[in-house]
Amino acid sequence: MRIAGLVVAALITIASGLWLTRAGRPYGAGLVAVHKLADLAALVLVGWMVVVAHRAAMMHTLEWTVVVAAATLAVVALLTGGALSATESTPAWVRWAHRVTAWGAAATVAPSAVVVARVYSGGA
Amino acid sequence: MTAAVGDEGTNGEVPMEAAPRSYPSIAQSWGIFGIVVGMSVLSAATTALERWITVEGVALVSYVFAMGLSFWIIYAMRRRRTGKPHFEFRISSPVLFVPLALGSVALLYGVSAPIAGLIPVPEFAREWLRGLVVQTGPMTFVYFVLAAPVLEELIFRGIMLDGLLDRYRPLTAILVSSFMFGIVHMNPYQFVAAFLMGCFVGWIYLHTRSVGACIVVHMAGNLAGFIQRFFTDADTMFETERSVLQSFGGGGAQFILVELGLLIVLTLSIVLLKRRYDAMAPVGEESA
Repeated sequence: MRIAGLVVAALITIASGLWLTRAGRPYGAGLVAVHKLADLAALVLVGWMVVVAHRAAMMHTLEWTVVVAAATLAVVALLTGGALSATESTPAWVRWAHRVTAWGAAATVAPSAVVVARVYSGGA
Repeated sequence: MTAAVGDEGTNGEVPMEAAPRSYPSIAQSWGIFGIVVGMSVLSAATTALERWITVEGVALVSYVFAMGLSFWIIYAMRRRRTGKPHFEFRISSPVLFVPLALGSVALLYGVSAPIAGLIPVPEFAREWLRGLVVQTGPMTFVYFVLAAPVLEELIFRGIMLDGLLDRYRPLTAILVSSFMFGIVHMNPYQFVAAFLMGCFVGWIYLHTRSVGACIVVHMAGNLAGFIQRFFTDADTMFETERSVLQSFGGGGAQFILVELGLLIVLTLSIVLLKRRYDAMAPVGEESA
């Protein structure tokens, strides 16, 4: 259930992010709200699952690396996205950083979901 | 310039001369939300300091890093956009400290706690909440009673609500800023208290435009929460689904009496404040 929630939240974040990029400034308040809330939901779900998995000591080093990379990229994407939405004129590097970290987070969230699914199913 | 209620166009936005110079809009508020949440999550890296300082010290450093840096960034954005460098900290009369503080505490225990008590608490959250309840040292006092009210009120009322009030109807502005204030706490239990506190504080800010008054209300609520920790048994407080207030009052008739008393205090505080605010000149007119 939590993994399905994570996947749905990630998909909504990506879809609304693409939509925001196409629509351009000024960003619509509703669409920005959906984008940020879905991103926050994904972050909270990842955090929750990782804490549970960490306590059970069920993750290998490589798995930790993937999950930590996904979480770090997602947080930096949230920060740079915040800076993009909060102002009307943002330096180009912020936009660039947001795109790189957002796509990085999107790329690592799928393997992270697989890792978490393995941990939850109790597989080795 | 103050927006007249009823002038709003689509989305509740008020078309007015000052609007282009105001900051933030609702979409920009979501940006502020992203910065605050992002900084809060990033500040988790300060747990590495636990080798050298106490857990409570780390919590204080982490909080000041996250909210201080967020405030600095958001303040710079507002200043560049609007040129506003200052915040209003004056409280019109010291007598108002009493209803402000009592109203805050009554809201917290009379309304927020019973509602939050209805939300089921999963085991990992119970552990986390128990960990919070046992933190009663001076570092926690500085964090919870001093730093949090000042930094959060500066961001959510002094900048966010202040800008939203220039663009939208007061109700829209207060609800949006309160919702964001609630959700940055990132858990449903604190969301309830923060959202309701945000509405109360937002109403006060609407009438006074004083961040100082909002800080007093927030400090009173957090001080009550801090003192409560000394009288709470962390091992048993989340064993049942009862709210914190019920566990204090003992349940049944006692709970109803305590609840009634708190609601009366809250109502009286709001009535007193409203009378006082109605007697004052509308905000913005004295300087016109």
